[in-house]
Amino acid sequence: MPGSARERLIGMEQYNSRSFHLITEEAIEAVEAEAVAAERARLRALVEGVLLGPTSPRKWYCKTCLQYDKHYPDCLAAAVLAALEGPAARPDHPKDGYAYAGCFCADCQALRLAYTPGLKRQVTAEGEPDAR
Amino acid sequence: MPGSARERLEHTYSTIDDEAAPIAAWQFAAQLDAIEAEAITAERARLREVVEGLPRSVTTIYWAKGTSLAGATTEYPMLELSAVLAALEEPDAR
Repeated sequence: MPGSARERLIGMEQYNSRSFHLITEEAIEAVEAEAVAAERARLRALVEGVLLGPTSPRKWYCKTCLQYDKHYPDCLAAAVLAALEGPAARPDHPKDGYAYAGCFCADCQALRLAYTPGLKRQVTAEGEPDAR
Repeated sequence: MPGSARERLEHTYSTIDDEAAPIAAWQFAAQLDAIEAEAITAERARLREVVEGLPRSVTTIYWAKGTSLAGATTEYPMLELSAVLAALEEPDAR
C-alpha cells in the first residue's frame, strides 16, 4: 500500500468500521509530536555534549590574561549538520590528529588555541585536511 | 490515563477485540514505530534546513599531533552555538 506509515495506518483503521473511531488522527499526531520532541531533545544534548563537552571551548580561559572568552562559543557547521544526519553520522572524536580552533582573546588579543571536539582529521587525496 | 501518547494509543488498540482489530498488536506497534521514524526524519530535515540557513563565520583550524602543531591550517565555517541551540528548542519557545 503506498503512502506514509501514518496514511497506511489510518487507511487500515478506517477500512475497519468497528475500530477506526478508536485510533484517531489526533492520537497519532500526539505520538508523532512526542517522537519529534524526544528527537529534538536528543539532538540538543548531542550538540551540547559533543560540541560543548568537558573540553569545551566555552569553558576555556585565555592562557595569557586568564579572562573568560565570552565570544567563543561557536561550533563547526559540519559537525552540527553531521549530528542532524542521524545517530550513525554523529561526528567522531579525533583519533590520529587533533583540531584546534584559533581565535584572538577579546581582552588581551593573544592568539589562543581551543581544542575542538567532534572534529576528526580527514586527509584528502591531495594531502590537505578535509572539512567533511 | 497516564503514560505517553504512544502508550495510551497502544492500550486503546489492545482493548479492540481480535475480530475487529485489522492487525495484530505487534503489527500495530511496528506501524507506530514507522510513524515515529517518519516524523523524526521529517523533523531532522526541517532542522537541517534551518541550520543550513544560519549565518556562518570562518575560523582557522590548526591541525596538531600530540602536543605540537603540525602547521597545516584549514578554514572552517562556524555557526553561532546559541543560534543552533535556539533552532533545537521547541518551536513555541523560539
